[in-house]
Amino acid sequence: MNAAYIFNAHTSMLPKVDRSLEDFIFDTVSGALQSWSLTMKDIDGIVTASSDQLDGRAISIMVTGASAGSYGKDLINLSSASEHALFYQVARVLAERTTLGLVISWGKPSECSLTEIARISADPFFGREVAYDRQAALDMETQAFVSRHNLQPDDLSPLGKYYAGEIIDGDSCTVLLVGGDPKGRGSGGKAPLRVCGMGMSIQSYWNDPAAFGRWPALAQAAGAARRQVALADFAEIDTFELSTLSPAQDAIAALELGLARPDGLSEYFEARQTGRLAINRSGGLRSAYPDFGAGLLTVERACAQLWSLPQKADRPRRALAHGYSGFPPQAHAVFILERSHG
Amino acid sequence: MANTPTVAIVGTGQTRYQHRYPDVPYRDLIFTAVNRVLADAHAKIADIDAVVYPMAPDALIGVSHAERWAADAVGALGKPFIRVNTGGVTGLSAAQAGYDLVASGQYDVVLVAGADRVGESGDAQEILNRIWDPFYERSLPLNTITMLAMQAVRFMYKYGSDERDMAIVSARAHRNGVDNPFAHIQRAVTVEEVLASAPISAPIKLLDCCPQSSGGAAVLLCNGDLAERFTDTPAWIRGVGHSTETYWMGDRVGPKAQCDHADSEALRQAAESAYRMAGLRAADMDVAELYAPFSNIELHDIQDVGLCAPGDVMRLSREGAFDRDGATAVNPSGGVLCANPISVTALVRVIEAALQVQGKAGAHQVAGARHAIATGIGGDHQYFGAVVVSNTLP
Repeated sequence: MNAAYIFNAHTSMLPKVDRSLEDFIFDTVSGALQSWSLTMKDIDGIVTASSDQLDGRAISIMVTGASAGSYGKDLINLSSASEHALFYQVARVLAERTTLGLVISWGKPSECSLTEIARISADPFFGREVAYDRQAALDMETQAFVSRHNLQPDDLSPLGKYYAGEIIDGDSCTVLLVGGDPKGRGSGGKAPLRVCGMGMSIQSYWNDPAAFGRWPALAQAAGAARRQVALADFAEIDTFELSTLSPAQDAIAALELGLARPDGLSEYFEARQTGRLAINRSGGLRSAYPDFGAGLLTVERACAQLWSLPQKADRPRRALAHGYSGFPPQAHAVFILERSHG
Repeated sequence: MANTPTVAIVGTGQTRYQHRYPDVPYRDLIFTAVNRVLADAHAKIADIDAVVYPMAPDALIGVSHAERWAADAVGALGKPFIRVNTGGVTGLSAAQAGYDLVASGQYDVVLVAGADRVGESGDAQEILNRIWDPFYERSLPLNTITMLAMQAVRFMYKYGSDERDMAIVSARAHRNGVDNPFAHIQRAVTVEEVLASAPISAPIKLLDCCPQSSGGAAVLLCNGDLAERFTDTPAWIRGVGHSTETYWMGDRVGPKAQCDHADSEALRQAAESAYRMAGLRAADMDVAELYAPFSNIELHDIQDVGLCAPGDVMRLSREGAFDRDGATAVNPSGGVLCANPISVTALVRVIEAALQVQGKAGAHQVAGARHAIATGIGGDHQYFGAVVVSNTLP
């Protein structure tokens, strides 16, 4: 049975806007390869993910591909979500079509108007006339969630400290090094992280009131990933990195992942408080949110968490990374990463 | 690939390609193509494990990330769903992604389906004019036609072709398109008509150009072990390959050129990868569905996928070597010159190649076709892909 591993991972956060998108990607990718003692000659497959509208390029990958190292390479670009690039590269590794490959994605919201992009994401017949953007979706989702569970908005306040302050748009570019040989090059001494489970699902684009504030696609994606690892539940996940942006999204994700029960949210709050559940130890996404690039960023952060944890004697260390796309979230992807205890 | 499953195309579906579908929304075009592929493969939505969606660029549809809007129309709800976007090669890249998902062993049945409405996006050239770098090249003025007109001039200089050689390609494609019920252009034209058609960007004339098309296309891929559940005549995907060359026009000219605009080294690499994986040679190909939105592109495509030695393409083309009854039938469907729904154009190449080796191409069937190559080109003559299909496994 073939397997896929993440050998290394790197994210650049751009603190200022005086680098072009192309330069930013090139700096990140070439810098990562250099620090991993690799060159492009070592790489035989590249999967990128880019968003034409967010990048402000009619076909983004035309302009950005070279920066990602495309020349003479088998490069495929996805545009549904950044985390989908990892999903596809893992499939290529399992299919023995990539030996050592890169997964690259980015978000540079400093160069665009997310509200305008959100508006043209709406279908032209029903949704476009509604002033609807990320913040509106988050607020409506919160309303729907508290209403469904007969809560008051203050009932979610124990989660408020994890989501304090405004969402700040931040530019980032993430690169993962992925391959099929656990002794693959470029790890820099880090333990390879096996992608032992992954799942993905999408729910309807239409915001049916009965579905609003629920993420059944997350439950489906997580279930698929969990079955691949033969885990009964997520008790043996040591660290979670979730693409949640609000207390309501946090609670929705917890319910869909089975980390909380609808009638037991207080127990969940306590588990978060005591650290029994390690969720978003990286600090989450609100302080520098790269929009389209967020999903792959959560994977990179999950890798970092996993590499930082001491080994366990009796079982592998595991991390769960989650990304979503759409607003409110429509497509969800879940990856379970495993660091061997051997 | 000893440890990976074989992959078969077990169904195809297309709408008729035409300039506009004023009474059919975008999602309905996809829905129609999906229904047709399901009917062709005697399959149900429930049989599908994952969906790959080709769409590029967003602006042609006018809805950012329109794949999310289309997810239910393509039957993806509750399933893995990814969108591929590599410019004009997107459809073939999506087929490759579908191949990889099955060959990975993760999914048994994968649908690759999408649609485009190039004829309804205002003016597609207005959008495509913006794919070039705004600082150095956009002001040339560079667009998809002028870019490839420069390719034609360079090819003429390097290999000695002329406008008649281009017209022969166009006449052949249009003659073939008459027999393809899905083709947008179903009208034969003569070489003289092509030569007399309106100049667009020298040496390209109106009848050297593809149309702006709308329509949907779909293929169903499955693990080879399951193929007989869906069809008695699978088209086996034997080889796939992609490669990339420069984005910059300026890097294709002069003494420091990274590549020659007359040819495509990346297409050659992609085709060689696909042949190698398939265990076949270019000479084994009975059919070639080559991505050529302008007649001059077909000339270099034929050379770069190895169907003849460099410089021989004009002579062989005049002699009929690439006619439907020639040594290798090139674009027996009429090719891109007869329909160009951009997001799925390269997927249509895969579909037509599959139909040929399945013996299901109808009036444009090439007798005895066993092996076929399909290609795609994306970006500014930048991203290249190839897929080899056969009616048998090795």
